[in-house]
Amino acid sequence: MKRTFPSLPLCLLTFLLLSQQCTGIRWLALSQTAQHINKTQHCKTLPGLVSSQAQLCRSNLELMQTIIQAAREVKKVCQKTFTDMRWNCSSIDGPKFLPDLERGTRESAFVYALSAAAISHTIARACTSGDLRLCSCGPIPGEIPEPGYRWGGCADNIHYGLLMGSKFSDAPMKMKKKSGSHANKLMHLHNSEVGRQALRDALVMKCKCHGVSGSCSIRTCWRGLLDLKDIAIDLKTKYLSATKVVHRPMGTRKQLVPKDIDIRPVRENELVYLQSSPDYCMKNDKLGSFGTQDRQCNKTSSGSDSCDLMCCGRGYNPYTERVVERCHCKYHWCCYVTCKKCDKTVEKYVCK
Amino acid sequence: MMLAAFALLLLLLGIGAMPNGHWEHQGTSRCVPIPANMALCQGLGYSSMRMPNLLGHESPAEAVQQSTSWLPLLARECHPHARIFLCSLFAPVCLERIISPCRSLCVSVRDSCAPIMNCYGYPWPRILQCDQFPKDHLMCISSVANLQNGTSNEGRVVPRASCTDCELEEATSSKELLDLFCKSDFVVKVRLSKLNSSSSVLTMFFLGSRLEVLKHGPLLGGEMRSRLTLWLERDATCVGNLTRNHPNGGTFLLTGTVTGKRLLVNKAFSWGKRQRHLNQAARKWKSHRCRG
Repeated sequence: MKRTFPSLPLCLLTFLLLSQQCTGIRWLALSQTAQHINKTQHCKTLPGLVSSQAQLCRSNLELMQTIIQAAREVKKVCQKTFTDMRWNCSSIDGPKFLPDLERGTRESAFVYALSAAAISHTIARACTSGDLRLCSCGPIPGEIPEPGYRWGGCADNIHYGLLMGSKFSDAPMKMKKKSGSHANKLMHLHNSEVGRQALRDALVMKCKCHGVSGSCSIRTCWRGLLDLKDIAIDLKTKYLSATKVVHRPMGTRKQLVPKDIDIRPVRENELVYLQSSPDYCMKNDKLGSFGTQDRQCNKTSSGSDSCDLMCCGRGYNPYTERVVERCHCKYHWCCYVTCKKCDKTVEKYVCK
Repeated sequence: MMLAAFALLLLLLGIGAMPNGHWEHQGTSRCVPIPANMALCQGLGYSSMRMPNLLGHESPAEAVQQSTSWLPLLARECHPHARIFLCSLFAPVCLERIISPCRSLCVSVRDSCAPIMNCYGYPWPRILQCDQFPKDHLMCISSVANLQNGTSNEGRVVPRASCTDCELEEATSSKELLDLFCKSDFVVKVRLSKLNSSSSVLTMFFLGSRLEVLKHGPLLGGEMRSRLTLWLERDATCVGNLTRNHPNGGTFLLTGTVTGKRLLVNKAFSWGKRQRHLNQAARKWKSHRCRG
């Protein structure tokens, strides 16, 4: 009798904790949505949304296609940025996440930051391209340009992107449910803000020559965003130097503070994590590690994709693969290209 | 004065306010039809172009606006492949991969056209620096490839650069006119009439049915009309100079040189009533013997 009774609340508690921990980026499951969202009823069927996100969907229906595009971008850019690492963003599809993203790991810190940057970036770009009629070009800077320069073009509307992006992606972390995962919420909110700050830093001046006959006598300039892959590379650098934190009382509230360093507040632009990561060498479902067995590695590299590091010293197997590719391509005026087919044998290496 | 006016025209063409709505953002490239008002790149054999183009223009409107300032240069026919070169950048052909001009094509066009641009005070622009284009290989547009496919330039001699534009002259004496006739390759009296509806951006006038050829030079009997028609279509600057004070057309005496299959008008005279010297020279020319 006693055995069965206490297990019930434990299961409930576990469910609540898990549910709270991983709701923040469940909207990334939208990347698999094939449906075009043009009716408010569709908002109910979308995977991975919390109630306030579904409400945003209903009141900003036009925005949803852009948000779905953002989810696809997160997956694509994340997997590309980490293609040379043991952890390579394999589990980012959702809505169920493996422990590598559920626990407050360094990897989840990166994904939260990238997601926050991507949704704001995609919305800002959609304003510029005219895909979103809710918004338009960003403002023309107030400063007077130098002689030979002028403001023109269509600046990326980063203000609207940040406003709507944060409203959507931060919604799960701002739900008022009381739970024991306050530390995780603080962590996710902080890392999301790091991502948005990386986006602000990525707003740069772009110029074009518009003088007579191609001269640069007049340059037209505007404020544009770097590509998302450049922002992801910046965030990866922050990921590699992320700081482990603990949830500790400071004053009347508990805050995240660095664990092993002298007493100082967490910096605005540093990613933080609560749980140390495994080495991702061996497959371990409890930790969300796929392991590197059968992963391709680079024999001639000395970086993280080298066979020694990728295979964790277990060794690797060479194999040859026959590749047919187009070669000797020739452009013919006017206007087509012809190519020949070439067989080629390439040697590849996979981890044991 | 004429050069200044021409430069002013170029300035006006270059400084156009780019409306905000026309700007689109750089992302993946796409195929768009070549706009009908992109006079630079009509009739090249393809009808859609890659956007953004190879000059970084994000919208067709931007590409059209920036391409218009190149039209006067083409009117000078500084190089037979100038248009192919410029349009490979302004309106690149839409294929699965980017086709850029070869460096040799760029160098050839630059060497012929840069002196003409210098006449009007414009250096060869940075955006067309030839170093950025690939040395010749099979996947870029080269002069040789065009020759092999027999475009309309068989054996054409690349013309020597010249700063001279044709001018409408005042006849001062029949003797001077006869000397000019002797030095010219051709002399012809034509009537230019204004087109009522201009289907082409460049051609505003057409050639009257009657040509009075005073001197054929190297041109054969039927060639004079076709060469003049081509000149009328391509040398917009010269035609503009002749008709500035004759907006509805008129009768003109044209003199100039012939290079290969190209006719270049150097001097012209308005043939109106009471043109004593012109009539006198025309009569004397029938029995005139040029010295040397």
